[in-house]
Amino acid sequence: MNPEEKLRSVLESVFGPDGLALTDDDGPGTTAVWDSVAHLNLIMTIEAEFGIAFATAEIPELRSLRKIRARLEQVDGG
Amino acid sequence: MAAEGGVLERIRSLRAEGPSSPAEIMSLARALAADPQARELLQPVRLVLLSSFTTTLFDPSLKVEAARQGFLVDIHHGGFGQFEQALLGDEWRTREGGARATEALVVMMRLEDLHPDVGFRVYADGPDEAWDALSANVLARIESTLSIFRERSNGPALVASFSMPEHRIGPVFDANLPGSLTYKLQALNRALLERVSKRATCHVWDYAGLVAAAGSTRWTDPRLWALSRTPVSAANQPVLARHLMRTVRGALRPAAKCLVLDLDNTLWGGVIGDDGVAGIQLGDEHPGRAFKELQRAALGLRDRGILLAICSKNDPAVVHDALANHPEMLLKLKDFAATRINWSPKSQNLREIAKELNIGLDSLVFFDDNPVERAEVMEGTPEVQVVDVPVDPALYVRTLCDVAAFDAPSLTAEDRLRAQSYQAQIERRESEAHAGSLDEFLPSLQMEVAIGSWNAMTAQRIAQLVIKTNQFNTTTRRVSEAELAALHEGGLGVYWLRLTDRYGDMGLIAVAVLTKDGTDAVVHSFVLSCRAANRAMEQTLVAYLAQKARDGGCARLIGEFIPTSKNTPVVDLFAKLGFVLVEPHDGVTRYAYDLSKQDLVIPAFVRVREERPA
Repeated sequence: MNPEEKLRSVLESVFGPDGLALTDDDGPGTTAVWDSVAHLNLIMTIEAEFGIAFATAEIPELRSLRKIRARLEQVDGG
Repeated sequence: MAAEGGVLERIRSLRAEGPSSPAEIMSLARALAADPQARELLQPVRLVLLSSFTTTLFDPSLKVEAARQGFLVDIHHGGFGQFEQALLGDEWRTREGGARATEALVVMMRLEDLHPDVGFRVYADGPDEAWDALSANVLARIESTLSIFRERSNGPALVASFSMPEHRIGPVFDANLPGSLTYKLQALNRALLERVSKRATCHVWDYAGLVAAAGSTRWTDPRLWALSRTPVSAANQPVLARHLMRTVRGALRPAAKCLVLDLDNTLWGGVIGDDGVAGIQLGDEHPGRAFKELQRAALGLRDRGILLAICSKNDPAVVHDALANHPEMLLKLKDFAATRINWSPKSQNLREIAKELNIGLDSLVFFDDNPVERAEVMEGTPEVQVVDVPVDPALYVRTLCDVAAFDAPSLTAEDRLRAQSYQAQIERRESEAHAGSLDEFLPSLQMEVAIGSWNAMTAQRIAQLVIKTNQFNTTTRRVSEAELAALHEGGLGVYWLRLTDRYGDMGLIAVAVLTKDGTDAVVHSFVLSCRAANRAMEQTLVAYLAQKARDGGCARLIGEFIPTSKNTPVVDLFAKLGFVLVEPHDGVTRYAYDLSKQDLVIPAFVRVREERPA
């Protein structure tokens, strides 16, 4: 699985089929399913699937799918 | 059962030893909510969680682990730090599930959430008024919460014991120091137990033990704590959920009453019928230790009122000899409330054990190393709880200790004496033969058999089987590898049989030596691994030999039998296949089959492939 496929599979596990329809602008609060609890679930699932750990201060800052993708690209490239 | 192929099946097949990934848990929890079968098959439970921290992140894990224990949970969170007030309103009672749902209360209070000094400033070399006030306040709040719940519900209440805080001063020597937090927590947990256990259907949930087993510093994720007041890491949430739902199950369901044990490669290593009483693995050193420990654990269950029973395909005389005389044997015949040592299907034996002990089949827990036996039991007696025994005997004890079915919130004196009261029944032990019908089970195994004749590739395994097998061996002629080669060349052939079924390849499990004597074909040796007993392999291979004998121009197929102390399982092998007893030859019992008859055939449910020499 490439990183994008992996992210899509994470979105589907956390949000269900609706997760695949989320856009880059979506984030906590922009849609009913992405609340603060779901945000933490999403972050923890990304960490487990990608084998990374975010810093405490980063987690609330990853507030859109665009930011999450950008952050994962850093990991991938690094 | 086949209809349950969906989410429930996936949840049931989750690994026993460790939590799954967050992604898997979340998709299972989602699938569970959407599955109409879950509503139909699982018992609805309304779980009310009151805690001094945030519990909403636990939901997916709790739902999955609840389903594993047979529950469909509707979770109500009391809200951060709310206890009595969360129960006073009616909101938690009017949710889905209706009146059908059982209610269960879980109270989780962490001292460090109630007072920030806990962990850092609890030490007093004498009276400690601040600590005493905190303890009194905590216990009083728990008691008033329990009272309010009891006025509204008959369901069980579980109160988490007080765990060691993640951060504390003096973690190394505090156990030596009266007046330290370590000392005070122990005292407080004892006081909690006294208060809680006085109340009907209220129990302490060993949360402190759970945190200690994981390690209090590994239990939490400081980031989750900082961002959401959740003091349990993502990796440990399924661990918490598993432990909590196991505790809920123990509080709601009656415990199983009887542990039914296999013998060979379960209570000892090796096959006693082949290896002999002195040859089994059992003792304080590897490899016997794992088996001795399992016996100790079984005795521990017996001390708690769980009945023990034996269900084994073996010769009763050999087993009784081992139980009475093996120096390392911890379990004695008197420890078993019932025994079934015979060659009948195990599901039939389990029915009989339940009847003899006058308990339900669903009160039996079956522990057997052999996956084929477990499958037969699951199919024949689906009510019985079958333990998923690991392949490695070193993991047996942990597996037995982890059987949730034996969890009981309390033990009475009667429980403890129950096992002994069955002793009277033990004296009149059966040893009657049980002719069970395998007609339904065998076709379901999808057996495929390869039969071939002796060659260099199989020579070694054939010789090993001929030399090692004691029970399923008609003549016990210990023929060497070289002699087998000569018998193959000089007679009608040495044949082997290899068995595969839907559980896997069992390897080369039977050998027959066919010689020629005038117009007679003689089964000089017939050897079957006891793992493959009662699988119609006897009929399959002998029917094949009959065809070979016909091809060789013979008129009769002769089966020879030489009795030994161990080969009673094959005493009537030829008679059962339609052979008739004829005159002995050189002192050897002989059975004959007239080859003009056509009724000795390979069973229709066995697919046979003939491997021709290259």
